Amino acid sequence: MAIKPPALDEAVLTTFQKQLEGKAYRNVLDDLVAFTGFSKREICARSIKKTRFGFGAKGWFNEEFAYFNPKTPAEFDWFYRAGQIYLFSNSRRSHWAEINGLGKQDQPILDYGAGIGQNVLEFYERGLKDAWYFELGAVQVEFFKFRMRRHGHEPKVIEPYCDGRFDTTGCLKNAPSFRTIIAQDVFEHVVDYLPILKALVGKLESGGKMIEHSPFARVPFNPKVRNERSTRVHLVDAHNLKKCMVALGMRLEKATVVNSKGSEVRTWTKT
Amino acid sequence: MDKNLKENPKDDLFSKLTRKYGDRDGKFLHKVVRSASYHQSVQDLVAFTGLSFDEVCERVLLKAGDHRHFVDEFKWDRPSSPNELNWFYRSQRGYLFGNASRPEWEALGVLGVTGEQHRVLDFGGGIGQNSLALAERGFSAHYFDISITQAEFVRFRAKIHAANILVVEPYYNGRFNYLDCLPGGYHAVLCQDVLEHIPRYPVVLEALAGKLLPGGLLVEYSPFNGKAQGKKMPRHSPVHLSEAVPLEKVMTGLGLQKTALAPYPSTAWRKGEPA
Repeated sequence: MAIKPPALDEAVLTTFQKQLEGKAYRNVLDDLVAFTGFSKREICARSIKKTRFGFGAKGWFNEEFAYFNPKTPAEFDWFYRAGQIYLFSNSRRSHWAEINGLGKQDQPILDYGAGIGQNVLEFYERGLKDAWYFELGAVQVEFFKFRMRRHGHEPKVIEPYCDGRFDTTGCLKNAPSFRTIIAQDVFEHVVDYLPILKALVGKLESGGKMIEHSPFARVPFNPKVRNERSTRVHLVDAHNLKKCMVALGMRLEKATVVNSKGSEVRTWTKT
Repeated sequence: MDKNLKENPKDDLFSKLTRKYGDRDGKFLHKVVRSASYHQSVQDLVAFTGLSFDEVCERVLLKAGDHRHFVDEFKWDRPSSPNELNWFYRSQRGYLFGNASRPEWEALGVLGVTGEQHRVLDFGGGIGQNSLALAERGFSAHYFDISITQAEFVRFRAKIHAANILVVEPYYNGRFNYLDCLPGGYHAVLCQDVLEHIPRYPVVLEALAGKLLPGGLLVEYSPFNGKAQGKKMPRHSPVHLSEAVPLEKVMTGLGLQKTALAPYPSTAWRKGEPA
C-alpha cells in the first residue's frame, strides 16, 4: 500500500499553477491556500497528477479509495463524505462549460454533487444568485462555505440530514423546487442512484431541465487489469440511467459525446 | 463515568454485544452506548454517518494495526511538515470513531458547581463530549477543533441534543488561523490530549493563556511521547510528539501557576489572580 512519491517536476508545477490562477478558476488557488494553510506549491502538488499527493494512478485518488475500501452502500457514502482528495482533484477543473448557456430564467438552480462549488460560484459571479449547492464531501462543503463568504456571497447549502439523521434523499424535502438541476459526474459514484434520481426529478418544476454527465464504468473494477483507473471509483450502471429518466417522465433534449470513451452530456426536460 | 450503570444480563443489548464482540469488548461497548457520560456518541455517529450500528461499533473498537485506526491513517498519510500535520488533523477521519470511545473528562469537576454562567473553551474538543457536558451543566461552552469532520459532527450533535454550544470556526480575516479565531474572555480552557500533537505547542499555549481571564484555569492532560507523568507512553507514539520544551517551564513563563485542583493525571493551571 506504500506510495512511492515521484519527483516533482518544477516546470510542470509552474505551468499548472498558472492554469489554476486563470480567471476561469475563480481564485481557487488563493482560496485553497487560505483554507488549508498550505502554500501554492503544496496545493499544486496535491492537485496535479502523478505526485505522491496527486490523483494519478500512483497517487492518492485511487489509493484513498483502495485504502478505505468501502463495501456496503453506507460505507460508500461515508467514503465520499469523509474523503479529502476530491478537494484537490476538483480544483483542477474550472466551471462546467455546459452551464454557460444558463440564465436568470433557469433559476432556481441546484448543483447536485457540486464538489468545491466551481459552478455555483460561477453562477453567483454572473449574477445568478438563486443557485443551491449539495455535496456529500464534508471537507468540500466546508471549503465551499468558506470560499463563498470569502467572495462576499452567502451560500445556499442543502445539508444531507433529515429529521436528525443522515439522509441523502429526505434532505431534499425542505429544499425549494428547481428550474434546473445539474449533476456533473455524480451518479456513477452512487451504489443505488435510483432513489436519488427520483427525489431530484420530484424537485424539478414541470418543464424544468436536468443536465447530467455520468461516465459509468463499462465493466466492474478488476484489480488484476491495469489501466482501469477510473473504474475503481466509477461503478457500472446497474439501472440503465436513460431508461430510468424516461420512466420518471424526463424527455431527452440533447446528447453530446464528450470523450473518446463515448460518455455523453445529456440535457433532459421534465414533461 | 456513570457509576450507576449496571451490567444487566437481561438487557438485550448487553447480550447482543457480548455475543457479537466477546465479553470484554461487548461490555465496553455496552457502557459506551448506555452510560450518560458518553452522551450517546455511538447513537449519534449512526445518525450522522448513515453507517449501521454494527458498522459504527466495529470502528469504535478499532485498535492500532487496523488500517482505519487513526494511528494507521497517520502512518499512511505521512505528514512531514507543520502544514501537512495541520492538514492531517483537519482532514483525517479516524478520530471521529476513536474519540467516541471516551467519556466526558473527569477533570471537568474542577470547573465548579452546575449552573454557573462561565465561558469555557473546549480546545481540541474532538467529538464534543466535554462541550456537551458543559452545555448540560449550564456553562457557556465554546468548542474548537481543527478537524473538519469532528466539528461538523459537533454542530450536528448540538442540534439534535438541543445543546447550546458555540462551534468556533478556525478562520480569521478570511484565512485558516486557529489562534486568532478564538473569541477569548474565558473563565477556563480545556486541553485534553491536545498539546502533544502540536509541534510548536508553546505558541499555542501563549495564545490560550492570552484568552484566559485573570484567575481563570487552564486544565490540561498532555501525554507527550515517551514521557507521560514519568511513565513511558509508547502506544500512541506516531501521533504524540515529544516534549521539546518542558511544559511546566512554559506554563510558569506565561504566568500560569500549578494548582492541586485537577485529578491525576490532569493538571489545572491558574492565571494570575484578579486584582
